[in-house]
Order: sequence, then C-alpha cells, then structure tokens
Amino acid sequence: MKRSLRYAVLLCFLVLTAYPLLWMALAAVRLEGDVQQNPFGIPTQVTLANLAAVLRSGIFGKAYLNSLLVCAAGVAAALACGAPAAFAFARLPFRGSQALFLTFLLGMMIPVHVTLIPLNRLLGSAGLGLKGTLWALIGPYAGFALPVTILILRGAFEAIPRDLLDAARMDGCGHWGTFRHVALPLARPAIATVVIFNFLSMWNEFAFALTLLDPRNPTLPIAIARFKGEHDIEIARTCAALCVVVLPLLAVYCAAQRHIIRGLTAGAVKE
Amino acid sequence: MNRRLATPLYLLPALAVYGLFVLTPIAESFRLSLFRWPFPSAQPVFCGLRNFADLLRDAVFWKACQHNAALLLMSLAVQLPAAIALAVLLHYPTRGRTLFRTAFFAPMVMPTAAIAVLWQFIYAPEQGLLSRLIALVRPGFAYPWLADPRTTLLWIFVTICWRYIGFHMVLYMAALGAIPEELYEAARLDGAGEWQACRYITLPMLRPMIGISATLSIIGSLKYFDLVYLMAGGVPEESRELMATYIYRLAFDEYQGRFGYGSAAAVMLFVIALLVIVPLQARSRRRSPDNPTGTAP
Amino acid sequence: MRTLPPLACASVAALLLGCGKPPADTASPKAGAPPATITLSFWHIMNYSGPEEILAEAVQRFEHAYPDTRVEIQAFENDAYKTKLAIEMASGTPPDILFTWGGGPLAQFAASGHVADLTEALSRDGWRDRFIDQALGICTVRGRVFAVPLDLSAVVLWYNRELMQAHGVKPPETYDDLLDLCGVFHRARITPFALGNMKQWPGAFYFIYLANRCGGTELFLDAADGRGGATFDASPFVEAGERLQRLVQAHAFPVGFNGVDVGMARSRFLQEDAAMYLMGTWMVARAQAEKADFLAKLDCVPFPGVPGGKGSSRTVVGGVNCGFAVAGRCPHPERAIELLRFLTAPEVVEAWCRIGRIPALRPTPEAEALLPEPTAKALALLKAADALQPYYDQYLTPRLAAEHKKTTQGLFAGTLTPAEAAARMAACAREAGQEHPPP
Repeated sequence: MKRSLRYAVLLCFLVLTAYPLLWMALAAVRLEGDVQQNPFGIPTQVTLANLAAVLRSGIFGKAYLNSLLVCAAGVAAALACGAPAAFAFARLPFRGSQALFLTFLLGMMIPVHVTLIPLNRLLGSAGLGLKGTLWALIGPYAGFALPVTILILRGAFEAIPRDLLDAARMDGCGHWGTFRHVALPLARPAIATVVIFNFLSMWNEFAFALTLLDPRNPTLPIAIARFKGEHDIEIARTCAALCVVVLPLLAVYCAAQRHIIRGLTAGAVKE
Repeated sequence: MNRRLATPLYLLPALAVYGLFVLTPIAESFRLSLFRWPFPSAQPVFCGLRNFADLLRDAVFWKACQHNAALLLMSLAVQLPAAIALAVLLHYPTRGRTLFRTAFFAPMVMPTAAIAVLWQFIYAPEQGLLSRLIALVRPGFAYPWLADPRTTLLWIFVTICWRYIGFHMVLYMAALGAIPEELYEAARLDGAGEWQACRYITLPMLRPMIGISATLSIIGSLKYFDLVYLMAGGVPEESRELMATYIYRLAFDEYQGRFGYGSAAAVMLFVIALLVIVPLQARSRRRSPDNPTGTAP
Repeated sequence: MRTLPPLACASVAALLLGCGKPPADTASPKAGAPPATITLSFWHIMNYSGPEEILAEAVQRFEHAYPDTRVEIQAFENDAYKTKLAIEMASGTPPDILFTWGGGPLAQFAASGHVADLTEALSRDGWRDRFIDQALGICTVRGRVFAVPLDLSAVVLWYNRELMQAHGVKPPETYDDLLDLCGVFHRARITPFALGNMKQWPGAFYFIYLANRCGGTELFLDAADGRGGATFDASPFVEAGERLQRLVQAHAFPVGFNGVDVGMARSRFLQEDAAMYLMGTWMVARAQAEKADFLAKLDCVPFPGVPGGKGSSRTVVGGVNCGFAVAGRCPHPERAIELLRFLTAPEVVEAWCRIGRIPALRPTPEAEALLPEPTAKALALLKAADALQPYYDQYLTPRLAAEHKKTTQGLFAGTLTPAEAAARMAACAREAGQEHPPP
C-alpha cells in the first residue's frame, strides 16, 4: 500500500484520538469561564490554580495508590483463579463441563447495578464485614472479571497443539506441570489481553467502588467525581484532576510499550 | 495426580470466588424480581410474576433492547474492521509508531466523565466543533446532535466506537506480531500481492483474536451504560435508553425506587444475553476443529 | 518520545508531593481531650469550595463543644449521593445525619421511619423561629418537621440589562411581553432565553411557572396531595403546556436546547448571546466565578403572569437546596440534633451569605448585606412573594417527579401535546397513589 496513504489514515486517526487528550490538558490550565465560554479556543490565560486545587485536595495520591492496589490485586486474583479453571475447561474433559462453563459466562450478562444491594449486604457488617476497606472491592472485581478471563484463556489453551502438551506429559510433567510450564507460557498473548482488559475495566469502575468503599479512602473514579459541582460539572478542575490521573498512566504505557508488545507476542506459538 | 481428583482442584478457587461474589448477588436479584419494592422507603412486597407481565408491555424496555442490538451491530460492523485496519497499517514499519499506539489507546484510559464533557462540546448544536466544521462549507449550520430522537443514540455510538477502537487495535497488533514472517515471504515468492497476502494470511491468522474481540464487543454492547447515561438526556426515554441505563434509572435515578421492577428487567436482559451467547458457544464448539479457539463466531 | 519517562517521573513526583499532605482529618483526636465515645456519620453533597468548608468548620465547632463525639463527614457528588443513600437505606445502614432537599422523598422517608421527627427539638430555645417559614414548610410532613433547611433558592427571570437597553426594550411584565421580546431578540439574532435542558430540570422551571400563573399555587398543591378532586390534567396544566409550546414556536430557545447541558446554557447567557435566563439563585455564584464583570449587567424580574390566569405574578418558584435530617436508626439522636443546631448556627448563616447564597434562616441585616447585588435582588422578590411555589421534582413523589420532567421535556421537543402530557401526569399520579395511598 502507498506509504503516503497509510500515513494519511494514521494521522487522521491520530488527530481524532490525540486531540481530546490535548484538549483535556489545555482545559486543565485554563480558567473555568474561559473553557465554558470558548471550549475550543486558545487559552487566554494560563493558570496552575486548577492543578494546585487538585493536588491540595490531598486525596489523589491516596486514590492513585488505592486504585493501583485494588486493580493489581483484582487482576491477579482473577488470573490466579481463572487460569486453572480455563485450563480444566480446555484440557481436562469432565462431566458437566459445558454446563459449568455456561454458568461462568452468566456473570457477564448481569448489569452490575442490580447486584449493588445484594453485594452491599454480603460485604457489610452483617456479612463479611469487609465494607469500607479496599479488600471489599477485590472479591467482586475478581469475581466479575472471571467470565471474560475464563472465556479468553480457555480459547488460548485449546489452541495449543495437542502434541506439545503430550510431549510435556512424556517428559514426566503432571497436569500441573504441563499447565505451569507449557500451557501458561504458551498462552502469554491471551494472558496479556486478559490483564489489560481486566485492568482497564477495574481502573474505570465506579458503582462498586461507590457502594463498597469508605469515601474518604476512595479509588480514582470516585475521587474524580468529587469535582463535579452541585448542578453541573466544573470542567477546568475536573480536567486537571483527569490529567493527574491519566498522564502518568499514559507515560508508563508509552515507556513500557515495547515490553508489553514483546510480552504479548513472545510466547505465541509459531508453527 | 489422578485426573479425576485433580480437575476439581483446578476449578475450586474460581468457583469459590465466583459463587460468593457473583452468583449469590445474581440469585438475590432474581429473587427480588418477584417483588414490588419502591425502595428505599418501603419493604419489598411479593408480587409473583407481575413485574415480568408489566415488562412485556413496557415499550421503553423493548426499545432499549433494539438500541442494544443496534450498538452491537455497529460495534461489530464499524469498530472491529477499523481496529483491524489500523493494526495492519501500524504493523508496517512506521515512524513514530509508539506515538500512534499511545495516542490510539488514549481514549481507553480517559475516564468517561471527561469524554462525556468533551463530546458534549463537540456535539453542541451551534458552537460545537462538528457544527462549526460543517459551517465552513454551509454557513449558519446548526443541528441538534444530541436532541434529535432519531439520531442521538447514533452519535453517541460513534463516540463509543471511537473510544474502544484503540483497545481492539492493541489486541490485533499483538496477534499480528505473532504471525510468522516466513508465511509472508513464501507468499511473496508465490507472487501474491499485498491484498492477497492480507486476505489469505493475515485475516485467517487473526481469526482467533477476532473471536475474542468480537465476544468482548458483544458482551460490552449488551451491558453498555456510561456514555449513554451521561449524554442521551436530551431525547425522550423511548429514544435514549439502553437496557442497562433503563434498569439503573428504574432502580436509582431520582429515587424512582422500582428496584424489583429493575431486577426483573435485569433478569430479562440476562435471558436475552443467554439466548445470544449460548447458540454462539454451541456453534463454535461444533466447529471446534476448524475454529480452534472456540470462543465466538 | 525520549522525554516522556522523565516527564512521567516528574508527574509522579508531583503527585507524591501532593499527597504528602493528609486530607483534613476530622478524626484526629485533640490533645488532652477524652477519647471519643460517640461517632456520628454525616453525609452531604456540598462538595465544592465554599459550602464544604463552612460545613466542616461548623462540625469542628461542634466537636470542640462535645469532645466525646467524633463526626465523620463525607461529601459526595449529587448523583453518587442519591445512589449511595438509596443502597444504604435499603440495607439498613444509613448515615446518622443526612442531606435532604425536603419535599416528596423526605415525606417517603418520614412515612417509613427512615428519618427522625425534629418537631419537639425545634420548639426548644426558639430554634424554630429562626427559620424562614416557607423553607421549613418544605421539610414538614403533615405538621411534623423532619429536617432543618440551611439553603433557600428561588428561580427568577434573570436578564441582561445592557442587552435590553441596547434593543430599546423593557423586561417583560406579561406573557405577551415575553412573546414580543422573543420576536425582537430573534430578529436581532440573539437568543431570547438561554436554556440547556439535557438534565430536564432547567426546562421544568418554565412549566412550573406557567402552570402556577395559569392555575395558582393551591391547584398544584391540591393535585399533588390528591385533595378536592384536583388532578394534573386540569385545564390550567394543559394551558401551561400550550403556552410553553407557543414560546418554543416563537424561537424563545436556542437550537437543540434539549441536548445541551446547563453549563453551556449559562455560558451563552454570560457571553451575551442570550438575553434572558430562567434559573435559580445559585447561578449567581457560578457567574461570579466565571465572569465576574457580568454581575453588573445582571438583573431580575418575577416571571410574568398570563392573561386571565388565577395565579399571582408575585408568587416565586423556590425551595430548599440543602437541608439536614437525622436518621431514624441513629443511636444518638439527641447528639445528632445538637449537631443540626451547630449546622444552622448564626455563624453558618452569616458565612452562607458571604459566599453569595440565600440562607433558609433569617439572616441579620449585616449578614444580608454580604450578598452579591443580583442575589439580594432575587431575595427581595422572594420576600415580596405572596406564596412559594415548590419545585415539582422536590415536592412530588419521586416517580411522579420523574414523569413530570419527562413529559415537560416532551412538550419542549413537541413529541407530546399539552393534553397528552397532562394525561400522562394524571395517570402516573393515580398509579403512584395506589402504591403509596395517602393516610
């Protein structure tokens, strides 16, 4: 394909996706009235007051840490529980396998809002008593991430050529050994997919965090929502908060990208 | 270890977590769907299947189902091909690939609140970016992007696709990276052109990933909530609701407090999703030698 | 791209510096004070600078007076608060002191014992007498008071004095003046009214005012409470819908206003693209923050009357924008009520005026002098009012309130005729009456 055409398409999409980011960063250093009245204009005056207000609120450092902790734990728990289960569904035929698998898929189909009240009771002081701590989120996050995790990983495990697994068996690996040393490494691209997907869903999750956390010890989406006003959103300040949230994450993604992509492809089966 | 003993051990952790945190709440919401519950001000009152009977006659709910179907079609027909195309384009040696990849992924990490605000400015009827761009060729142009009952959801769906393309692109880039270079070399030796290589090597090799990405899209569009809830307030409810936003509004918004009815709607959504997913699963299982991932069509 | 990692480090460092300061922690025990034995949770939605600090300071004064009590304040965003409160109430774990707008939801909470009766406490020490009667009325259910209001708001017709003068017109006094003004400004390519109705409540003000001018405040109260055979399909409600649609046809509103957020509408007014704006008094504080010099051009009049209408054009639409109730389950109601006293103390009322908001308690003349000029003018209209017409979405039961906002938006969009909208309201009221029969 023509190089120029290719770059033209890519640049078009770059404008579409990068512009909002740029807009957000610009809005963060503008005056509220300026953003409201001339959203797409050039800033008339640059101010750091919004960023200062966000950092001064003191909640974002904590929220950042909380989000990272909860997401990491949730992703890890989903993977630790989901991968063996997916392996069993893919490679250890047992009676009722298909029915059980469908049961796991059910979780994807329920809108989260109707589970809020039951979960609130389950985790509240009358139940597990975890409500208000970060622990309260990890269970539901991992639980609701399991369907996708199992679905994707089962596919990946099924795609591994039978011979490879049999060869491992010949070399004296048990099931667990085959799973740990052959299946898991070969499924690396799928695992990376699952990790990214789960991480992003948990990173943006609002309803559970609102219900189950102590608002003074929130995750990022809850902390950001605080900058909404009584009747409408305070744009400049919200954007400043979003910059604090998004830019470090993007920077890390950008820096680590080569490793992520390598990780995504390294283990792939090359036939 | 004996296989018969081992299998449950593989499943146990997942079952425990899933049973406790997902199945129990789901069971509870199934139970509540049999109650009338104008909460939080009153206690639930058992009403049998009345909620379901009402739901069958609820025009807004059925409209919402259609909107979900439209979103589903749109994400499969627009978002997936676009994501594949971008991934393929970026797979060529490209200057500034890191920049492109990061920027394409950016909408995915941008929180929904910001996206909603920004796109409301873009869709503003007169001073919005879109109207202003069109006004360059048609002076005085103004259009109620988010207040026309026929098209509002469509524009919001465009925003949704815009948001998720980057994510799916990353999935496809990973899959593309796993295609052995030798295949393309062999094809070139056989005199295959670029399009042919794409048609006969790239797409078939991407198939497992297409399955995964399509499944994520299907589930995502059946449960979609955020941007529609935030941006579609300008049109009547029969033109704006998705199933999830309707359920939320019934249960929580402005204390409407019809939690039992909302739960019944959730059960319906559940059944509908089941009717979509189970045949897909069964089909992909039957085709499994041909479609080794067995995930989706 | 090489510069990004250092950039990342810098932003992370900035972040860590930012979080070095712990958030204002009301829980920290004061030196020498006995350990707190009572803990009260207090939720509100005044989560922005100004009100948030005032409430926090009031709580500090309370904690100082009662060293054995610790108050856990949590400020939420509006929507998040509604969801969270509903979930906690349904689970039987509401906060001890909760924010309320009064009206229909408060009445439902009261009917099911979710909130405590404050009538007795109010009668002590002349507490009750400090409140503005109409504000307290919105927190009263069948003669018993269930919440104390702090903030009072009124919706008035704001206009841009300079724009009016520039076009040689006067602010409207009658409905026909309104239609004339629409013509004048439309021809001058200025939007007559700024309106952003995506959230549905801004447009509802027009319907509430028109229905009030057509049928009077009593008709609404009767229809809402199911008294005297009054219903929401009575002819004044239909007439209000007709008059509303006539305004739409007269190009009173900007293109696509139903899909525009309230912030965008305000900008339009502040940018002088629109001549008038029907909005609550809270708008002044935002206008001041966003374009301070605009306040000099800002003026207000009562919403005009309609020819032959039963309602007085001195009636003002208004209500409580911030009130506090004590949960029925609160284990220390006496202490919680004591906190309410601190939250409505004279210091708080004065501070409330200082940030430009109208308190629901009678302010001292000195405190009142602190209000910005436009707010003071609106307050004068409120004082001169012969009645306070409540916001529908505050006064009605939640379901009927939602129906009101939906049907009004439909009237604006032209997807409903006035008769259809009125019929839907009446049907919904009948259904809701069956679910919550009036005692």
